[in-house]
Amino acid sequence: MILFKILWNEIKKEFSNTWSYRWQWVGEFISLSVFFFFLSMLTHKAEAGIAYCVWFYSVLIIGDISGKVALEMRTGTFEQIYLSSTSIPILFLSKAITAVFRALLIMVILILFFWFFGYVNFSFFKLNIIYVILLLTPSLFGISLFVGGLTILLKDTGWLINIINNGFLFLSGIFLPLDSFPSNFQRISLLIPTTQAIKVLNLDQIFIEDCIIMLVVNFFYFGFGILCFFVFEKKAKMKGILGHY
Amino acid sequence: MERVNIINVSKKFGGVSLFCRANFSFYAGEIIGLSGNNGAGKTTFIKLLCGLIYPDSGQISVNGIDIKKNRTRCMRDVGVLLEGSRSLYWRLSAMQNFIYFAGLKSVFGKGAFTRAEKALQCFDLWDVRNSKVETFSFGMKQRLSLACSVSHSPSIILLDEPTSGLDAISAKMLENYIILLANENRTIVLASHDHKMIERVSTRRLIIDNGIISDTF
Repeated sequence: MILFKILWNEIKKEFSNTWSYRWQWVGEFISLSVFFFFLSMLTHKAEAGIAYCVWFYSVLIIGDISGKVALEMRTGTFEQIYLSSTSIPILFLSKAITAVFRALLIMVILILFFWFFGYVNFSFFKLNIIYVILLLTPSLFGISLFVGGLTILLKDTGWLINIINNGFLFLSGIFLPLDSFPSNFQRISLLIPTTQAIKVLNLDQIFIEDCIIMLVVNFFYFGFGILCFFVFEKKAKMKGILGHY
Repeated sequence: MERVNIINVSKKFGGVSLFCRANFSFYAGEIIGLSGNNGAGKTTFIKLLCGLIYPDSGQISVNGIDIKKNRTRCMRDVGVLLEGSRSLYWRLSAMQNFIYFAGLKSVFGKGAFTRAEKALQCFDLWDVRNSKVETFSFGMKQRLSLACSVSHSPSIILLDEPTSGLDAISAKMLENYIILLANENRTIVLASHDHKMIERVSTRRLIIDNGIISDTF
């Protein structure tokens, strides 16, 4: 019960605070709409648009959490989080839940928008997407914690977010099929969580083996992210730079 | 009753030693005034006490619990004011800020609202409780920060430059509040440039100079 109250307290604050920057939501919606339209409609491949949505969902969550860490360090509220009697990963989980909600809301509005104008029909959106979102989210939380922890230590991780965003975009098989990659790139791309997600999304039938591979990859990222976060946090506390920006 | 125990704590920054094997105990009802020049390490000392900075060696315990090993438990007993105006969410109202920070210290629901009403009235912020913090003056932000930092009625209160930016009336009000808190058997650690205020308020003084903390009762 206390955990639920802590999560709710943080989520409520995140929503109130994020809503005050609501033009950012509008900008994200416009950029997603434009790319979704170009990828799905002009290539006549609905899957390309859906794959792009998966990528968008991923980068929004990763960027949102690490962006919030950087913002809170600049505004000065970050140290207050560490003065709480709550576990820090739980507070980060609340930020992740808010980011998931925001990303899903933008995607649902986008789908309804295109559906209203007759550009998409709901058969595009297979049931697989629910599995994909559920399985993908823990790894995104792990990567967010990794980047968030690194942001505490290095302060500016915009360069890393760019690498992750572009890596996920070009190596996940959104634009080009994985088979067309050189073998080294194929191996790297298999380690990217969105690659597995898009692969499962494009299957007509989900096999348990695919889900297990995806589960293993995602929970590896989840555990790795938490571990790295604690290491980076400890280093920042030793250096005395937790609240610096 | 021993509230804070500092055992052999050392801390270096960039090869410069700020504290070397410091040993202190702070007790219930004490107001410890911390003074020293700029860069002497007053803020670092406060941050060490609340676990925002880890010492290179030694141990700090709060009510008998090692802060490095069990931060979440220790923080239930500690309230901290750091750079007041920057410790708040400017786009939220005073009430939203108070309720949020009380929640971070596990004070929820009706209890949080009751405390908010009492604290905001005490700090003369009740009439502006629904206004956004961005519209507040520096002094109002400082007072709200202090209200938020004691929202969970902690037994140990750490204040870093609490009167910074306050006018004479507000500073006097804050002084009286600090004395009131100490009379309720709380331990206050107060870092300030204002030597006169420290002399008036504190029951014990610590002076930080060149990495040495001297204790003057």
